[in-house]
Amino acid sequence: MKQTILVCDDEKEIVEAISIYLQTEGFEVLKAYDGNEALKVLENNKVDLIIIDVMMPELDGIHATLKIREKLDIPIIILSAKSEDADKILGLNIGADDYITKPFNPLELVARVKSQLRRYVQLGNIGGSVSQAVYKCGGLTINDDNKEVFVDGELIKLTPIEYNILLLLVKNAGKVFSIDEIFEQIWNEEAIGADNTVAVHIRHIREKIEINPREPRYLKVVWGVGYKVEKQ
Amino acid sequence: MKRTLFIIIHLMSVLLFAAGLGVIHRYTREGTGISWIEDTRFEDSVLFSEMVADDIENIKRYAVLKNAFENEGDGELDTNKLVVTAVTSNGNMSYRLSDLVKQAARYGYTMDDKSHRISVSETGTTDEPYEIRVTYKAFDPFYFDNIEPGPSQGVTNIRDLSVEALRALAEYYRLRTEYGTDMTNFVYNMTFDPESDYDIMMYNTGKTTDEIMSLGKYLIVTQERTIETNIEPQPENILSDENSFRLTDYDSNLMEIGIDTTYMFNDRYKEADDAFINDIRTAKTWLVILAGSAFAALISLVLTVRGFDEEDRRELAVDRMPLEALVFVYACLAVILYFIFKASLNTVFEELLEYSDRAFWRDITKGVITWLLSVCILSSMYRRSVNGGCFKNSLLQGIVRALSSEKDGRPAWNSLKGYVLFTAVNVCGVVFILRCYGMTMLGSFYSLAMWGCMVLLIAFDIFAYVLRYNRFRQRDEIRRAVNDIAGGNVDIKLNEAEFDGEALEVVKGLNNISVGLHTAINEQVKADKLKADLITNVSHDIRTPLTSIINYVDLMKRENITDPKLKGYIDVLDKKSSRLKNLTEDLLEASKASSGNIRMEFACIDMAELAEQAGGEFEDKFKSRNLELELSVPEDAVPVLADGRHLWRVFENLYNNAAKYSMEGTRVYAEVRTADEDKAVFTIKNVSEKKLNISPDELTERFVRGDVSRNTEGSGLGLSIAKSLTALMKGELKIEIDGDLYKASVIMDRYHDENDAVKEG
Repeated sequence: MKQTILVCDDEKEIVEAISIYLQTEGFEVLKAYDGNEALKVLENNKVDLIIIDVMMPELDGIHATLKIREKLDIPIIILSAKSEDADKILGLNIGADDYITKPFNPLELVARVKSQLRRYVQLGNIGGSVSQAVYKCGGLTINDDNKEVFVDGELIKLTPIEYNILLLLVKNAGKVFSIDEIFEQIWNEEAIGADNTVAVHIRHIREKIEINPREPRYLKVVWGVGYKVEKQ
Repeated sequence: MKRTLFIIIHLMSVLLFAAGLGVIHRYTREGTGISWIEDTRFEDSVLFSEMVADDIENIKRYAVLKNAFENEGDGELDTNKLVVTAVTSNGNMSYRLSDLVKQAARYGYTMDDKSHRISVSETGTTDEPYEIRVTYKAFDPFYFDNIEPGPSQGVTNIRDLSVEALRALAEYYRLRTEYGTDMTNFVYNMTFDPESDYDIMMYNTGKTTDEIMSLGKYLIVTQERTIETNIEPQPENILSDENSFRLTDYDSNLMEIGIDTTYMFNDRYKEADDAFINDIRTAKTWLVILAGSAFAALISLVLTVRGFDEEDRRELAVDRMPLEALVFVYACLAVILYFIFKASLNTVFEELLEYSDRAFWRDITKGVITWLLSVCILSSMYRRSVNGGCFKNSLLQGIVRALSSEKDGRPAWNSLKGYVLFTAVNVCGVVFILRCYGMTMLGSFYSLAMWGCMVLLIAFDIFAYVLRYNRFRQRDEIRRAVNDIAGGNVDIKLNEAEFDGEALEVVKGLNNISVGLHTAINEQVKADKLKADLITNVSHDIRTPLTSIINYVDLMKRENITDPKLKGYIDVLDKKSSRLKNLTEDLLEASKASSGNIRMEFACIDMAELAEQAGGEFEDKFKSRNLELELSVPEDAVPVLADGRHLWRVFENLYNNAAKYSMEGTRVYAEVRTADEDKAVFTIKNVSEKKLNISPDELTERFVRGDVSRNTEGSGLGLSIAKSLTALMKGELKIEIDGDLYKASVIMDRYHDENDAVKEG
């Protein structure tokens, strides 16, 4: 069954472009050009995910999101030209699940849409079958028994060293590891002298598990301190 | 050396001058000065006049003694003449001259027959002489006219009386030798009335009046007691002795004096004339010497002071001390020298000089010392004037200049004014009180005045203190306000009613400055915010159409376009739209960073760790341009207090620049080190591919890029953003360019509290 996505933006061309991308990926797309329209569409149709702009006439994205959240818990992705941290925080706090700034990378948008849908759909049926050797952190799952890593249910290929680093960080989710600590843990050698080996590996891991490596969801860089995986 | 020679010449001429003064002093008569030299003839001189006066006195005395001791008839000495009558214990007594001479001899007083000098021998009797009261003394006929009548009138003793008579006899002999001869240039005729029954006619040559008047110099006292004379100046006190010029019955002049100015006879006048001519000759010679030595002294002084070359005119150490100090030192020196000379010379003077001359020679010594020291000062002043102003180093001039300086509203004068007034009033008051204090006994008025003055003085002092207190309070408040403004708090408002005078002006100015600054800052803040808002809003508005462009370009790329021309066009669109996207993002960030409109979350950051992380992030980028990153960090953590995300942005921009603009195939050196106790430095160095014909400052200015052209990726804002962000984190970004070598340093304050180190971000 095709999943339905509501795209709401006052710029018709943007709505059009997004719907082209999504339709290409096999989604059904509903269009709305302001908040009120979006609410009407929602009343009459079953929608699986909403992409909504903030700055719109009549009813803006923030208020629309608040109204939607009164009834529905489907994933909402805010798509805005406002890139300030404050805007992002506001959007995420009032109930949005993701925040994408314009101008966006179409591929990233699609990836995020898929990611949100996977989590929303799988949220119900992942539960009981968790063995001892499985570590979870948000959409990130590591099965240490067969050395497999899943991001939002998708299998990711990592080298042994990358796997070990990720496992270390996920096992100790929330803890910050400095480069030297990671080096000593993984290579079992004392870290001597400056070497950006660890940093390079981390970047490679991020490129594999993150949708946008510059704004990582899982493997976060604490600049000037070290690396960590956020506890979720 | 020439100069030494002239100094010696000067010294000698000064000494010669002093000697000349001394010689002339010897020939100068008290009070007449040097003018006597003009009297070229002796008979016109004061000396002559004084001599005549002396002679007149002498002949008057001679007349008295003549009358006392001589016979009336033949004019010979008669020792049996009664010369004294007196009252003794034995009744009235008369003494003859011979009696008195015998009495004198009894007491040891004798007169030599030839030289008529009186000598005293030890063989005289030691008897107590009996007392007598003289009633008449022939050799002192006016005796009783000159003493007060009374019981003690004429009381003496026999010894004193006889010695007095003996002395009068000696005097008689002397005067007779002098005036009893006609072999003299001094001619006189005189009628004399020594209070006896008859007048005495006295003359030495018997010349007539006309003859006397033709002698050269004459002096005639007429019967009317007037003086006719051609002696200049006229001898004094001739008529003072009333008794000697009593009117006579004779129809003749009372006194006729003539001096033969041809000096025919070899007497006192002749000698004095010779000596006088000699004196004048000597004095004139010495006057010439005096003038010559003075001239030589002057010339040698000028030459010595001026010197002969630059070396002589060079400024010495003495010339750099204040003029007044120099004068003071020389004055002290003069006093010391004078006392030394006085001590040593006094002995010499006492040996060599008469008492009356000593004071003169002391003056000469003082003069010479003073002169030589003055010459020292003079030459110093000359050197000063050559080397930039006579009074260059003068304290007085400094004070005058400081007082009269117009700069800064003449602070020295203004501060002095009040002080002088205050001191003057106080001193006057104190002096007045002290003066009154001694007079309090005299009357209640002074006592009242004293107390009144005291009260006034205290009141004045309190008033002065209040004024002073006010001034200082105002100054303090102004200073506080100025400090506030300097410290950034421009919002001050001083109450103008609390100030007066100059302070009020300053306060008004300060208030104006405060208001002006306040407005300016507010406007600046408003303008900055407006600008930042503008840029934010504009970039938002640009983004929306940009999104469409990017998306549709992307969509076009997905279409199966085979036409290479169209593919090329789409490629251009793709690149430029993504560049536009970067530009708007950078612009926004730069505007926020430079206006400080960014929230900083400071935490302890390990700079070394950050450099390594950055190295990891950029490894691929470096590799793609065949660059080698040489990273060197210390083993220990280098903690700094910064916002990790923003510091990362700084590092990212620096690494990015290095990756983008380095010459391909070169090495990039990155280093973290601790510069000193307080500073941590991150440095990145690379060799630029393009020429860096630009200053480091311009590099960090917006939109300026090393290669000036704008045709590569990037906005040219990277360094500007990095600089602003570093500054916001209280650090410093330094760019250095040395040829093609480009070096960027981030200098941050080190974080010291180890307990707080490594916080979670």
